[in-house]
Amino acid sequence: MKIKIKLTTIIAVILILTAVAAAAFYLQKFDLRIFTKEKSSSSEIILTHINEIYNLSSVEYVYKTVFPFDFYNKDMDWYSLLKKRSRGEPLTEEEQKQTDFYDLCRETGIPLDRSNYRFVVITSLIKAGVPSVNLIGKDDLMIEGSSITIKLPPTGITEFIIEDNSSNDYHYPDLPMDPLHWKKITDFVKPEIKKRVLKAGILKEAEARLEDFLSSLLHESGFESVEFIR
Amino acid sequence: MKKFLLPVFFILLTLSCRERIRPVSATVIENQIRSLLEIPTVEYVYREILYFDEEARFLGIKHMDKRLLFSVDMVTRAGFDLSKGLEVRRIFNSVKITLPKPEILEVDADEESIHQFFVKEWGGKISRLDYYDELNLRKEGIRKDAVKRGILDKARKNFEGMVSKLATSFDLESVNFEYR
Repeated sequence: MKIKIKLTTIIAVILILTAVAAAAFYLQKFDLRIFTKEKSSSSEIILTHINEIYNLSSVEYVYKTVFPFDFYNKDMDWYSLLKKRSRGEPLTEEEQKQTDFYDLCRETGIPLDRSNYRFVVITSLIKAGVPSVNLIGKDDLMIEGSSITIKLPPTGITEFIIEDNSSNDYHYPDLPMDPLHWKKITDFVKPEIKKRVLKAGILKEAEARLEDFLSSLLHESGFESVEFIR
Repeated sequence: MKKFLLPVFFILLTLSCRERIRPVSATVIENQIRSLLEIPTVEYVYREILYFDEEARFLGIKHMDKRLLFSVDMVTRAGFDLSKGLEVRRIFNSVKITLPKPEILEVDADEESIHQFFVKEWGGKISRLDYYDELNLRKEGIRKDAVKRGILDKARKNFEGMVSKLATSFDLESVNFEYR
């Protein structure tokens, strides 16, 4: 049996092989890999200021929220609300807050008016205690023999930290977002989270734990009776 | 007719699959409250200016170019973690305080201070972990710089100054500090 091969087929095969060989040669010679990905970064740090602080934190609340789902009503009728705004009708304070939230989400690339699968889990560390412990002075202490009465300043939130995630500790999908948009989101969530932890009684908890600590410390240092006034 | 039914079937299948995807529920993420006894007495604020870029090529042809330049304040707080042990002993008219050594309590990026100079996103978006990974890598350097500039000594001096002032309210003659 004779196999007939056309001349054009032979030429085509030779051309393809030549092209492949030439491509391989140039890719090697000029380091033209098929896929390349390069990352680089540089930074500089400058110490801008030094602050003296005298907080005594007695409690820490680790508060996790999911943005945007934790910050709006799931049954919200966005269509009607936005239509009302576009008609120029006056909005209530709550409606204005909701439309501002809608705008923030749209601006930061998390649209709320269709199926949204983008989210970010925000871990906040909120510490509470006495904000200026150095302000406790002689007038705040009454000592009679082995009894002491201390007038404690009101407790408050001493620190509010949004945890800096990294690829090693953040196990959810990453969010495409530049630093400016991320700042806008944290500016929005901070006061909201603060309201929630205050409602959950963080200050009462801080007060109780602070009194426990001071009471045992003062008993240890020789006072038989310790009393706190606010 | 069969030719048209097949694509319609696949479209319906795809849509029904998408319906099953639900966003993460907040209830699975728990919050916790814990006891703490921290006295931060000094903070160093560093301004970090970070430049980041990423390029991707296919056969030498660029198909992705991401660039970002921004600044953020990195707050470094130092002080005392008293939950590691605090002892106060009164000896006649003076007091001896035994406490842990001062330490760096945290290095944290202050999001409120973010200032973005420019961003270029061509063929891909900058993601949040892109720049947070870079910031986290630099925290150790900031920590070392703060220690070199004496943040721990400053924290100790501030604490001793504050306690000595408080001790005068108790009419105490002297306060001695011992660090372990």
